[in-house]
Amino acid sequence: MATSAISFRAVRKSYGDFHAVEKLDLEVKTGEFLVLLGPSGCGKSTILKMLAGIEAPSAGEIKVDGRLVNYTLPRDRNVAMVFQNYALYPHMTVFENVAYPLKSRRNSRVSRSEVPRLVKQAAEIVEISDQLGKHPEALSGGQRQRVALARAIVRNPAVFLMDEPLSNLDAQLRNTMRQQLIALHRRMGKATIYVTHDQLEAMTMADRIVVLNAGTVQQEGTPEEVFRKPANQFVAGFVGHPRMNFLEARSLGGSAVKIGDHAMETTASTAPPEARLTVGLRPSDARFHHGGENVISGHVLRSEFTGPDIFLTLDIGSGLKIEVRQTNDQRSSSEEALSVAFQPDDVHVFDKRGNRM
Amino acid sequence: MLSDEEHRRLRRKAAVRTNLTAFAFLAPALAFLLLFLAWPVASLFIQSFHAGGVMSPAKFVGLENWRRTFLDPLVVKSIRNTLLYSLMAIPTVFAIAMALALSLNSIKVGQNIFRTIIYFPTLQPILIAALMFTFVLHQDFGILNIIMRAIVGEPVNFLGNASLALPTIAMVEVWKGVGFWTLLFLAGLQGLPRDLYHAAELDGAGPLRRFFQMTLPLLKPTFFFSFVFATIVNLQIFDSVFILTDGGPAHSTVTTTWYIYRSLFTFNEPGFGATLSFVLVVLVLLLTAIQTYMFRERR
Ligand SMILES: Nc1ncnc2c1ncn2[C@@H]1O[C@H](COP(=O)(O)OP(=O)(O)OP(=O)(O)O)[C@@H](O)[C@H]1O
Ligand SMILES: [Mg+2]
Repeated sequence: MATSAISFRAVRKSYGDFHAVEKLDLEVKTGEFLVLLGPSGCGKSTILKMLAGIEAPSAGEIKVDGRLVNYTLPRDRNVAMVFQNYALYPHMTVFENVAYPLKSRRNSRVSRSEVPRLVKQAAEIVEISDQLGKHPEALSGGQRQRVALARAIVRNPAVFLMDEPLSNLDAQLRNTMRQQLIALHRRMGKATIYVTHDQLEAMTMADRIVVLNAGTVQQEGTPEEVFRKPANQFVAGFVGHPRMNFLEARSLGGSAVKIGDHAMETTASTAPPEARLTVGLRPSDARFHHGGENVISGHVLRSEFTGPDIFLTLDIGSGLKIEVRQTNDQRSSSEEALSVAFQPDDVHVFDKRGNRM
Repeated sequence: MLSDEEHRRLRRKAAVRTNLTAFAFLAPALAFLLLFLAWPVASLFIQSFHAGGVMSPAKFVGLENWRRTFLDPLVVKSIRNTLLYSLMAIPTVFAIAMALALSLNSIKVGQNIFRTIIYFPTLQPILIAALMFTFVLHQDFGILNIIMRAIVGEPVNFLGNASLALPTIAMVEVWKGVGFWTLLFLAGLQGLPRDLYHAAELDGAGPLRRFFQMTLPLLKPTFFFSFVFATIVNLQIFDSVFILTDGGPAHSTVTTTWYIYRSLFTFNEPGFGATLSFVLVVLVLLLTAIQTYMFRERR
């Protein structure tokens, strides 16, 4: 069995009484691309900083390549990090920035004469070869981000840490950079922890996602697992766009539930009859023109045209509302009343505390 | 579409508008500058061609004062002393202040208390500080000489020795100025982005590299201000000289401002003093220009 490149055991970080990270257990294998996903302030950067050695954990063990690093200096951890704000050295040129990790290591295995070659190589990978003479202030956001990346890859570390590196870029550049980052990761084959609060970025890039909220892990799994079987209401609401509908419901015993007047069959484990539950329905799981089983009917309150899709808000009685997505080809004549069906698989059931059933 | 000619006209108009606004805001400051700087400087310049003027009516003497200024060995000596003093005091006070600022920046508890203590000497008037040092340095009962006696065996005549007097004055000024520069450097240090240091640490830079390759270059704007300001202030060294040695022994602590003061108020030669003042102003301007050139952005 391959040992994990990175491991967190019961790691906690407190600032006074405030716990920024609580009891974190995490393993990342060599070659794996792990994404930490969570809202602002949930402790993502704190986790990276503890691994990098910028912050000391309050409790627990952190290992890199099987070696305990809790008390190791940052420079001895063999970890490279792309900072949230890039942290480029403003008084150095791009070349000097990228060369810095090679030149400043005491026991560097790189000889001076090799530095220019390695810098050029790294610059080529992230396509900034023509910017080497400039200072960071003369670069665009996307170029700065590439410089930060080049500085990280130039010294061939064991572990890559990336803190929301794409958050300052426009949508189009973010798209291309996403693909380039993944290609780069495949090429380097290193353990990577990538932090983001953008669920789309997490879904498209991750081998494995760890969803965080308020310093605790909510769920860990492949993008598909996290999307299809969210462990709790927080994950269900955070992952997937447009956001999942949450509706109050009652158990009918077995795996059936009742939302308002609509009975639905689910694949959830059984709850005692009449138990109060929350049902989650993704707007994108709605099926039109199906009839028969698992149907919710209502009338259209509002419809929003977004191009390929139309978002409809339905009033389904009992004071409940639900948002559904209709693709253009499913579009019927603009009817007032509408029925939508959900597969039992697509009906997510959560207990009173918000945990998946 | 506007023609090129029209574009040019409109651009000029816009530029005038912005400049006018800036000028309106600067006008009060400029008025004060004219009243309290340009006018006195101009009258000084006129005075440098006259003799007398305080006890006796002023008399036009042409370039006589200027001729004397360049021939008087004491002028040369005073400029030499002033520069020598600055070369001793400024680097010393900067080095000590930097070391203190770095230590203060890295301690977590009690920073405020240490800051207050370090700033204390700067708060008292130089007159009192200098008087205090006449006691500290006194050959017979000064505290420093009690210590010196214990170490070297005999007291040191700090202010009475021609080769020690100027360094001693520099020491007093360093003692008094170090609090100010420490706080200034500390403010500079605390304004530096912490992520840069984290990045440098991850990139493998030890404390020395971080200091020489991050802190020093990043503090360049602070240092520029500091060098210019320190030069301007230190080239006018007067109070401590006046109180501690009054130029002695054997003219070894005669500084330019001291000589100007004596010419004006003791030797009753305001014309000569005015000329000397002018030389000092030119010297300050020259050094400031050199520093500005050395600190210019090289991009
Ligand atoms: N030095 C500190 N002292 C006190 N609290 C801190 C400190 N640093 C971070 N925190 C707190 O710890 C929590 C986690 O911070 P962290 O920077 O890890 O969030 P994040 O998930 O990276 O958020 P974002 O997406 O906004 O970058 C926040 O609530 C923050 O206020
Ligand atoms: Mg963060």
